[in-house]
Amino acid sequence: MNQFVQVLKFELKNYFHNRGYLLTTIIISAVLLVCLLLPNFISLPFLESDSSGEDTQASQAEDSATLAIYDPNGIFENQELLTAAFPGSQWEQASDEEELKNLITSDEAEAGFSVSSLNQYTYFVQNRSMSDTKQQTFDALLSQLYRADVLSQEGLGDQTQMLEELYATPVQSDIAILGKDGVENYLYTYILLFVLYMMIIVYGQMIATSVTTEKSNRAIEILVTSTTSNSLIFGKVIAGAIASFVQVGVILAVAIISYKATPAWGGMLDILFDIPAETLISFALFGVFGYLFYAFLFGVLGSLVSKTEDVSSSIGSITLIFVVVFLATIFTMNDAESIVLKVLSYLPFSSCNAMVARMALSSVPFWEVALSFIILVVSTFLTGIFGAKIYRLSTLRYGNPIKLKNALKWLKKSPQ
Amino acid sequence: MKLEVKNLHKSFEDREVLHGITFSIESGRALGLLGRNGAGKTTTIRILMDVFQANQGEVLLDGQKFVPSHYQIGYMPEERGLYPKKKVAEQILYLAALRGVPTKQARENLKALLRELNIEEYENRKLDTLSKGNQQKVQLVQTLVCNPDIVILDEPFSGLDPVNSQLLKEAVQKLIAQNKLVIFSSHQMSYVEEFCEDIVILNHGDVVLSGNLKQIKKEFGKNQLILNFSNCSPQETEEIVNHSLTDLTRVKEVKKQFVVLELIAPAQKKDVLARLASLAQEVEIFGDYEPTLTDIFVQKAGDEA
Repeated sequence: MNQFVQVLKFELKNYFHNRGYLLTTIIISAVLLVCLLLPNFISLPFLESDSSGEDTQASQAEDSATLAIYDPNGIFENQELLTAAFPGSQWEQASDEEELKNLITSDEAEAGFSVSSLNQYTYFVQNRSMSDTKQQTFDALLSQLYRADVLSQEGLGDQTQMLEELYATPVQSDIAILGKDGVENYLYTYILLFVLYMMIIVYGQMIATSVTTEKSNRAIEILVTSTTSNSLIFGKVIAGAIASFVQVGVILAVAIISYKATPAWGGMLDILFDIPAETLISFALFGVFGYLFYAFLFGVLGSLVSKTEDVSSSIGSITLIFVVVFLATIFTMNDAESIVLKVLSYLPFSSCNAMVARMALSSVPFWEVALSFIILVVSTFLTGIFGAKIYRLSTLRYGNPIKLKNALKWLKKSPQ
Repeated sequence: MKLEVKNLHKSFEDREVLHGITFSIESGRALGLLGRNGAGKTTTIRILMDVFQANQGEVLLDGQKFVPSHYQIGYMPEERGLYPKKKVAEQILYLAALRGVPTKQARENLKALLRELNIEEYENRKLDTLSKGNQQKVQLVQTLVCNPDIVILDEPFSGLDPVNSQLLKEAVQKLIAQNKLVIFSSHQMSYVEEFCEDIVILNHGDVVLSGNLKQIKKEFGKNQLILNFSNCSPQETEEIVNHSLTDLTRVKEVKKQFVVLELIAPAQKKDVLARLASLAQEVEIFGDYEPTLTDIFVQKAGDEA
């Protein structure tokens, strides 16, 4: 136990004295601190407009664009219809489609419409963006004109206004969520999973590299004769876990405290920071053991190679597995009741992601959580024990990288 | 203390690298563990250190099963291993702590060893900023910082200049004088001859020779003489021997300064001496032949040389 503590202390000291570790923690915390405290010192327009409930300046800016139209049938002789639909917009009339295109490509107009009839037009734009809503606005405008025209032809022109109001009748609805709000919780769940993903990938690589470095500089020769391989690998892995959770803890604490200390946010970022304790606890428990599970695997894979340049290839397979289960969780999170997410939530390779996601986004029976957690803890424990044995067998074998298959064979034949 | 290695077998996958080796060593004496590369020396040491488990055989200390963790063992591996980017004191104290040495004691031992090896000023320097010789000395410091009962030195003199070699020699001699049990593995036979009372030569995983070095030398020199005539080269001496002494002896080897003769039974040394007295040639060198350890090593382990 004393040897484990010594290894743990030494490895922790390495992390806490590592410039990269310190700088990353300080820089990320400082950036979050500044960004989240900023509203205390300067007024941010988007916070003001949001609180007053007025239209945002951004949307006004969008609408105040110069647009072009080619309207050979004179549907929009009354240009006021266009400026009403696109408030603040300026309109350029084009004599044909070529001119319309030229106006756009020369940046004289932001976008344009070539209107063939009341139910057919082409929207021209230089580069289409995700936030571009002009086409939908024009759709609505043209549909309205089309309906008015048909009603007029049918002799119901005087009822157009009433029909339009009927179309626009607002429906009042409430939602009563008896379980979890998967929509509201989605964002912070995604962020928590991404944080864990980064921790496992970054620190897993660091642990593997640390093991290989001791092999490459032959420090392992002294270490394995001074202490047990269990103390070495457990000390290394748990030090990595503590260092990473301290780093994430510091960054999260800075972010949460800064946010809470800035009332000007008006609860705007509650969707990120107002994480229920139950979710945080599940993240901590599944996160810690999921992290340890992978960290042992990374440590063992690091011990199979003798040169630090071989570490990437050695840990490639486990990295790939983790990336795949992470993406599978992310892509199935939209439906927290999906069978894929349920299966993933029991596998030790993915339960640290999938069960946290399920717990945050839906109601999971306690027995399912307990079963998944037991599977993960037992798997982590077994990985640690067998990992330490493979580590011991592999550490003093230099030269070509050792295949995991061969290491497992040695483990079987080992007289220990 | 008496350490006994009995019938050790060790295999890696399907390849047996130790075929039942047996030897023993007592404290206050140094054992030279010799062998060509791949002979099984490092594997034997790792079994002693409990890094590898033997497939068969046992290691006893004073008749009881040897449990390395119950003793302080100083190990200086052939593959020098420390943290290049760490400060000398920091890593030595860490390794001492792993071996259970109290921090205060470790600090005192560290200071004393650094002083003894003239590297006191490097205590807080990073290892990779030191010369190779000084790094080697730091390795010795890590070996001895736990005040070990058993010391295993694997090629301790490689890469050392004569001045540092002398310092290291003195340190090793001091260990022997302190009644430590010292196992000394090296290809530099002169050092082995200097320190070791006993030797074990391994070849392809077998003990091909073991015992007291003086006895071994005597045994190897048995019925062998050295001879050189005045104003003659060893080659000329060989010609004379082949002409005048063929009934008593034959030339076994021509060395730089003399020839080595092997007596033909039942001839004895006095018979050769009497014959030499009858010759007109004046004798410059004559006596019993004592082979060097290199001669013995080459003879026993040089099968493929």
